[in-house]
Formats: sequence, structure tokens, C-alpha cells
Amino acid sequence: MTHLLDKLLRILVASFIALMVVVVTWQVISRYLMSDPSPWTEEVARMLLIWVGLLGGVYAYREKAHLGIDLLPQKLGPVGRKRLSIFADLCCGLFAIAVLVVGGSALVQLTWELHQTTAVLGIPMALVYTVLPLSGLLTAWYSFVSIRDYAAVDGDGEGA
Amino acid sequence: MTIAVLIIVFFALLALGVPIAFAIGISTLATMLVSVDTLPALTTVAQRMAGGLDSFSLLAIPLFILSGQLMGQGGIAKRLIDFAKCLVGMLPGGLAFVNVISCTLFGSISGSAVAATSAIGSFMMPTMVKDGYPREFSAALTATAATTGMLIPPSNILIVYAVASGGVSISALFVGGYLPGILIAIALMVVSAIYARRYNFPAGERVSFGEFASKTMAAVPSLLLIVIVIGGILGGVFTATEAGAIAVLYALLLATLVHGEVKLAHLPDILLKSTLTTAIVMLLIATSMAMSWILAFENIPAMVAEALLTLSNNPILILLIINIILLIVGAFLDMTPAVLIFTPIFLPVALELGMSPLHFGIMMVMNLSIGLCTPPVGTVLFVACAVGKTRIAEILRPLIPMFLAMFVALMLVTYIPGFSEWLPTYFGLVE
Repeated sequence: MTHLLDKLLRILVASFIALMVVVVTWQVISRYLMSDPSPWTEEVARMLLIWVGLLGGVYAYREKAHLGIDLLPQKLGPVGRKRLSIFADLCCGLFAIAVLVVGGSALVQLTWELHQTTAVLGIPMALVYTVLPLSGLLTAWYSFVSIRDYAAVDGDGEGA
Repeated sequence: MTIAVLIIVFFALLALGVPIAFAIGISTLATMLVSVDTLPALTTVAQRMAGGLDSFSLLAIPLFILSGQLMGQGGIAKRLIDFAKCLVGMLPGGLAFVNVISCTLFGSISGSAVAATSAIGSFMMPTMVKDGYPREFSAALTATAATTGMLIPPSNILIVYAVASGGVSISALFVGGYLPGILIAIALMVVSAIYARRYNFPAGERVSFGEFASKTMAAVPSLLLIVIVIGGILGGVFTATEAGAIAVLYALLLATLVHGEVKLAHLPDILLKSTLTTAIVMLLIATSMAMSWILAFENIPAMVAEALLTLSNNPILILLIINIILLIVGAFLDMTPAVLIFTPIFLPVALELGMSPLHFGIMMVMNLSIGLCTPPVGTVLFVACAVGKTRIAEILRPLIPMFLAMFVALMLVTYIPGFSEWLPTYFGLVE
């Protein structure tokens, strides 16, 4: 389950980045070679960035790549380090549920009711903002997986 | 009061090892909950996060990260080093100069100080140690020289500043970064020259003209990227974001067809690595934008401006104070949140003092790049120690004169606007 999710997430974020390159390149080509500037490229690229930023954020969280200060964890023994890791994951998971899932869903609902759409293509903003609860759920899931993995390891069994 | 909540929650979470992006988000939320109802607070933070990423300028960041990854895959570091060796290798302490110049050149292609440190450092540090340079000196020099890439375009952090400042032209910032970046490189080479005299660093061999020509030719395709990107921006052919896409295409062609170092099968991996780097920056941007919003909402920038301006009305003194605060901030905080959070706070003060937003941005980025190689939190410093197989406690001694040199360069850029403004003005990028 988690493996499949990892794979899906990786494919999704990598294709979004590749798509971004294509869209922005198309913007330059359409302006110069076809002297007919494409009206939609900028908007699509911006929406892609929001999705890449947030879903990529989940991927980085899964890979434990987000920057943090590990001065205190390094000074502690294995048990303390394990507790801190669990605490940090708990913080991330709770933040994801509160802000991204709850706040994000409210935002999706609000923009849906107000019929807010993007300027050029008329994409509902609610659709763009769907990435908030989506990445929130994923972050919460990965935080749970990470905590479970830490808890499964004996305090002194874990290396650096 | 509310600001106390923000500061306490933020630093507590940071110290406990919560990732910075989340620590920023959680402390922002905590601050908002003091004065706003729960659901509106949650919705606002979510909205600020998504809205913070909604910018065509920021789009340039993943593109330059991707082109840097593509360029960095192959032997570009080696080619740049060989080229720099032809230029300065024969001087006493030549390898130190080669290190600084290749880091600067690498920075103008990749824009990541960490990438420069590991790519250039993994070639240069063993070579320097073999030739009798102290290991700690080599590591310290690589770390500091790598930070020039923050100022020399393409630079992601300058893009972040452009967004934070609300509309300074990225093109102007890019061009304005050249002289200050080169100034740091010169400052570091002065330190190297003093070391070379004192410790009798060896000189490399003078190269024949034929070798010079062949090494230069080998480096030209990589260096051409600079011409395309900066030339295109200066000539008004494309925006910085579009330049990013063109850079990706050029790097892709170069790496696959010309150098043949990247195979199509490598591409998914390169895309994923770029996504990872991008995502780390983007989540920092998202939550920092939310924090910056709550600070504005609580009227913090105006309070800081008033406090600073009542403290003294001497611009020289105030700029010095701002610089010292930023140096301390930079020692603890990553550059991206530092720029996003402190630009709205200090920029109004700088404007009040008659500084241009362009000049202030260059000063701020230059200042914060010193923080990249200062303990306790210095990403570049950690990488340099890992690659150079030394420890932070040991490289601090040679770092001190380098910090001093960088500080002198910073003061020159702070008090002489010409360093950051002359080139952009010359190219008509600012009025």
C-alpha cells in the first residue's frame, strides 16, 4: 500500500515538473516562432507550481529531506532521539491535518460556493486548492507510517 | 504579546528538531489562534500557503534547479576546474585560486551552493591536500567560495527576494549580483594569497598554449549557458522564468547529445532529485509567506521600522545594525525563510534611508550567504566538512579570516550602492 503510494507520488511530481518545462518552453516558442503568444501557458504553469510545491512537499517529507536543526537530537541518546523524532513527526502530521486537510477543505468549499475561477481558462479555484487537503492527507499518512516505524524500533537498536 | 507566541513556539519547535518549514507553519498558526477563531485561522494559513506559491516568478526556481541538475550530472565540475587551472594554476597557491574561480563559475551555471561545494569540493579538496594545502583550509575555502553562487546568476534566492520585495525586477537583481559575487571571490583570493605567502603553498605548472586552448574549448559549451541565459534576459528576449526553461533545454541537449554523459534512462531520476530540491524550497516559501502575512497583520514591520529609526537617524549605523541582525539570523535560519520573513520587516526601513530595493536585496542575500557557512546551522559548512573529511571545530580557524574578508566585501556593497546598481543601470534595467 505504502509502496504503491510512494511510486504514484513520485511519478506524479516528476511528471508535473516535466510538464512545467514543456508549458514554459511552449510560451517562448509560441511568442517567437509563431508570433502568437499563448494566453493559457502562464496560468497553467502557475497552477502546476502550486501542485508541485505541495505534493512535492509530501514527497520530501516522505524522504525525510526537509531541513531541520538536529543539534539537540545529536546530543541525546538513542531513546531521546527516538522520542524527538516521533514528536517532530507528530507535529508535522497534526499541522497537515489542521491546516491542509481542515483549512484546505474549508477553502475548497468556500471557493466552490463563490464560483471562483482562474482568469484565463476558468478552472475552478476549488479544483486548484484540492491539492491542499490531498497533500495534507498524504502527509498525515506518512507521519503515521514514520511514527509507527520509529515505535517499532527498540530505542537502542537504531543507528545514527 | 502575540509576537512573543510566535517567537517562543518557533524556536522551541526548531530546537526540538521539527523541520523548519513546519516549525514556521505551526508557529504562524499558533500566533493567529491568539486573535482569530479556529476555522478562519486554519483556512487563512492554508490560503496563504497556496497563494504564496502562485507566482510566475517563483516558477523559475524549479527550472533553474533542473538545469543545474542536468549540468551537474556530467563532468562539468572537472571541465571548469581544468579551465580555471589554465588561468591561475601557475601562481603560488594556485590551487586555492582555482578552487575559488571554479566555485564561482559553477555558481553561474548551477546556482546551488551545496551543489558547488560537493561537485567542486570532491575534486579540489583531495587535490589540494595532496599538494600540501592544509585540509581545514581547503574545506573552509570551498565552503565560502561556493556561496558566491548565491549572488551570481542564475540565483534562486534572488528570485525569492524579487517575490518578497513585491516587484524588484529579477533581471536587475541577476545582473546586479555579478559584481558583489565577484567581489567575494576576490576577497577570498586575497585571503588565499596571504596564506600562500605565509605557508609557502606550491605553484602549479604553467600550461602550454595547446593545452590552454583545448581546456578552454572543453569548458566553452558549459559556459555558453551563461551567455544564453543572461544574454536572453538582458536582450529582452525572454523573462527569467522563460530563461529557466531555455536553460533546461540547453542543458538537456548538452548533457545528452554533446557530452553524452546523461542517458534518457537517467532522466526520471534527475527529475525526482530536482523535485525534491524544489519541494524543500517551495514548502519553505509556502509557510514563510503565511508567517510574513501574520507579521504584517500584526503590524510588526511598522513597529520594527519605528524602533530602528528612533534608535538612531544615522543611516550608516542603522544599516550596520540591520546587517548584524541578519548575520545572526543567517547563522540560525535557512536563507529562503530568512529572506521571505525579514524583507518585509527591513525593506521599508532601508527605503526610508534612501536605499533602492535592488541594493537592499543584494546586500541581504550577500549577508545571508555568509550564514550558509557559519555554525550552528550552515548547510554548506556541513557539506564541506563531509566532503573534505574534516570537522566543523577544525575548520573554524581558517574560516575566521575568510569571514572577515567576506564581511569587508559586505560592508563595501552595503555602503557603496554602485557595486549592486552600476551594472543594472548600465544595461538599462533600472531607471
